[in-house]
Amino acid sequence: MSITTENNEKMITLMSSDGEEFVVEEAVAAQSQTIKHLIEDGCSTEGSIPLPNVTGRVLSEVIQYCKKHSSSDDKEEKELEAWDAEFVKAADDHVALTDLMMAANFLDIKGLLDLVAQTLANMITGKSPEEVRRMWNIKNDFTPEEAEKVRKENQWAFE
Amino acid sequence: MSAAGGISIPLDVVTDILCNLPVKTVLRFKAVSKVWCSLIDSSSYFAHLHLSASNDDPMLVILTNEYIEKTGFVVCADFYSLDDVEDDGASSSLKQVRPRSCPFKPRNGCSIALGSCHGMLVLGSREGNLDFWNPITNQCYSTQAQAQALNQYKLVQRVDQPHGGGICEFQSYNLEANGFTTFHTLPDDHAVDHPYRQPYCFVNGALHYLAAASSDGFPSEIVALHLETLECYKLKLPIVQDEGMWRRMYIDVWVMKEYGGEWTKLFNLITYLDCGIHHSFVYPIGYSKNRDKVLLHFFFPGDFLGWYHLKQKKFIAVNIPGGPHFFGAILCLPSLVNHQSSEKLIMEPATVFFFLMQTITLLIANSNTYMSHAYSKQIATSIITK
Repeated sequence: MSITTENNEKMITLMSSDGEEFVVEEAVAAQSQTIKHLIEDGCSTEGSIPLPNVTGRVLSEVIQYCKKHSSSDDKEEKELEAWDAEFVKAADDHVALTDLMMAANFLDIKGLLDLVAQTLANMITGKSPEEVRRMWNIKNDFTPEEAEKVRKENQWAFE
Repeated sequence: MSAAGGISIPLDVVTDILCNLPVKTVLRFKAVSKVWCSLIDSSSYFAHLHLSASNDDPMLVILTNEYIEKTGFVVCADFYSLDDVEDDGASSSLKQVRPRSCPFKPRNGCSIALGSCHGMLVLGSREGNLDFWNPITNQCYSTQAQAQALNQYKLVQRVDQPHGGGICEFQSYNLEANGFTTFHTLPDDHAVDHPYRQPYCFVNGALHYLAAASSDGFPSEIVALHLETLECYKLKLPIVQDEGMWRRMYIDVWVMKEYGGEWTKLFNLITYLDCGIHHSFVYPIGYSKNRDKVLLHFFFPGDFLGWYHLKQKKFIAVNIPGGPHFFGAILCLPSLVNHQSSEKLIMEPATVFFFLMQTITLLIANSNTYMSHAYSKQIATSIITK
């Protein structure tokens, strides 16, 4: 199913894991290397492109990012940076950011991936290993002796 | 997913996040879980990814044989916070790392830091053994045990032929031969050695050193040998007026701001007035982060480090644990790279930056003492990439 707009822009439809459909310009969607390859392989000619790993909520954010980044040229770099900063701020917490990052990873959108990775990195930089475990439900699988060994070998990093 | 409202995180996403963190934080997160630990510890893929994304500040490693033997610690500092010095010379940026094994075990003769690449230091002992040490991961490799390590780098040494009338050979380490083999010979070379610090710099793909135009031993130019093309060219030294004995009192520090460009005199020190010592050899280590200070390494009498304030024209000494006698202060870029790494490496940018700070005039002033010191052996090694 391909539709064209007034200015002859080819449109494609993306479908999220929860069945929500998004109609976007091909140039916007093609910022995702994953979608770009799917289009090249002819997956967009019939019906919508299913994205089983991305929910509608996250996909709408991703599309927002791609729209902004496909319409801006290099001259607006400063403005784009400010927009990016606002964009990740709006994502609010590490859960939303992690969702966004997994989507950027799956869809292979380098700019978005770098942006969110940097934001999450800033978020955890002052945190203890215990706090990081709590953020992402990671199980501490070290025995007390192993934990002590890791700590000892990297003493200065814990100071 | 276990806790309510929680989220789990795949490892490739973790990798991307960790690449944006300084090495110190990454090391701390080894304690998160075994999976994180092994990602950080044993993956050369991750080490290189992290290095190429690195925005870590350079680290200064200070080697003090006596102190290492007594306490087992090597002194390291975050270079850019080292200028935060109290009146008594103490700096909170100094920290101590205890090397796990080799290079620092007491041996006959001490080690000298020969160079660094990707966070890996190369240490040479007087008997000619070479050791690699990454102070961040605290991994050590000696060349005899880990000859493979040398295959990743190009290790170069310059050897003057004894009584060879200026014939000089450049040799690189060859894994098959398990030793150094000559790859280039210069017929008429009069390199001048610094008694305390090997004045070799690797910048723009070329090895640079001070040389005399004739055999009188008086440095008059910088010779550069490009290690890939083997093109040999010369750079001018700043023009210095000969002030005879007076020159011993002064230290001029010159900077070449742009490679191949003109020299600019950065500042001038009168050692007994500015630093409270009568005369000394000095080596400028580098600029502070906002470039208003320069860290100087004085070699004699006693070693010490101190910042020279460019605007206030003031000198502030830095107290080093185990000082005043240390035998090397070397900058390296913190990295998680170990010798197992198989990828092709990029050159450490810090090396380029610091060459431009080479002191020249001091070397001229003290040229008559060059050969008297034990370190002025024929070997100068520089570690570079293949």
